[in-house]
Amino acid sequence: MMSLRRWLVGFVMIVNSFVAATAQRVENTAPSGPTIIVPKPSSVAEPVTGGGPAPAVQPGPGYPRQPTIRSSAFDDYGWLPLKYAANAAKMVTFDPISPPLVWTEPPPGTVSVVLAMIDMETSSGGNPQDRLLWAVINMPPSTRLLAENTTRGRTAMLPAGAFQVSYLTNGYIGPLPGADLQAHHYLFELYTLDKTLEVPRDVTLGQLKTAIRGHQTGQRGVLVVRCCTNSK
Amino acid sequence: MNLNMLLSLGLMIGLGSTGSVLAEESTTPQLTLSSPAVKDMEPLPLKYSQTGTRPSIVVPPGMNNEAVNPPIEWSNVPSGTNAFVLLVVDHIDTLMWAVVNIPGSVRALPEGIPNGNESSKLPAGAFHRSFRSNGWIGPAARQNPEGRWTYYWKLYPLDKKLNVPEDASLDDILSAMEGHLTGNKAVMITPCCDGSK
Repeated sequence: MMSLRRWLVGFVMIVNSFVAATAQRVENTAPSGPTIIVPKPSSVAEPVTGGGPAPAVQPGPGYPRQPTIRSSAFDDYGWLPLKYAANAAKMVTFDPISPPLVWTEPPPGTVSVVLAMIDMETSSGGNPQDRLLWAVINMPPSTRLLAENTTRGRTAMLPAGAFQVSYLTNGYIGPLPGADLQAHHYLFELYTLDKTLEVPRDVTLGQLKTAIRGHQTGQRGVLVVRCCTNSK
Repeated sequence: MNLNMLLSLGLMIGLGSTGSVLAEESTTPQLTLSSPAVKDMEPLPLKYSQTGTRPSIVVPPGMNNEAVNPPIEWSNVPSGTNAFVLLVVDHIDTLMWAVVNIPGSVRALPEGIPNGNESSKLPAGAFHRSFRSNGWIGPAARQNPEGRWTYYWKLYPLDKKLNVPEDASLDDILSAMEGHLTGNKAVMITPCCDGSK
């Protein structure tokens, strides 16, 4: 009886590891293409043993590609120019301008697009959460760019139906560490969603991520930069 | 905009205190994460991937036994730090590696910590896991038909060890750390495996 149970547990583990290996590849259900399974990390905390055939996951039509997000003002994996930093000149200004951003066509089935700019290092109040420096929420799927200097709070500059927020304001705030401090890492993340989000105008990063969960039409696109020690 | 306006904005929205904004102006060196084998913002060497130097589109379970973690070190630890958690997650929040309850006196992890928690290479009292193993699993060295895969390394300095089980999920670990960071996180970003060698 004991050995049968052990065998069963082992079998479930192997199946789980297949599932997890498949799930690591993609984030959400595509309109067509392979079936996507969300991993359950807590169920597979055991060494993987045995081999076996590889899961049959091949990219095909409708496979959720990662959208590409870039800026004409700086390189991916580069340094954010100082003009986009909040206190580059030792907190003289809190009115940085937002950088220009462009991205590729979202996957089919996308109803809204969210841009989030995140400071990865900062923790406030001893909490592990990253800091939301900018989010533009509920952009229509036809949106392919945000122009430089999107004015804080004024939805007139945003695509119809969209609004913006940061952890401190109703618009872009940008990096906080001054140019003389150690560099931080910043992410511009692009989420393509199957619905319009119903979140408050002062939504936090945690609330935003919770609202997004389960509604992505493909992988999130990521643009990576540092600021500000070597920024110009 | 002057400081008063910022203060009132902060109060109005009820988010983020001005105290923490001002604290960030301190020039105290911040916690720094580095590695003699891996460079921040550069591709992870293939040796640390699931299949070593043999790229494949999909890695069958079991092949990950060959993966070794890179050596990692850190410095400028905030005062009051009694423990660390190191997390490696990919850009879609897959838990690639968690080393939980590293003692506060430790400043480095060696290369090639074996799966399981018995090895003397693992700091005393710590445990490690990935989303599907109890140790380093490493990126799948696929050719990434769906685009670049990005891996985030984050070191969390904590005022105490976490009371979480050894099969704790990423969400479990993040929740347990609430309110216990002694300062900013330290971060490295390594894409893999397009461009890796």
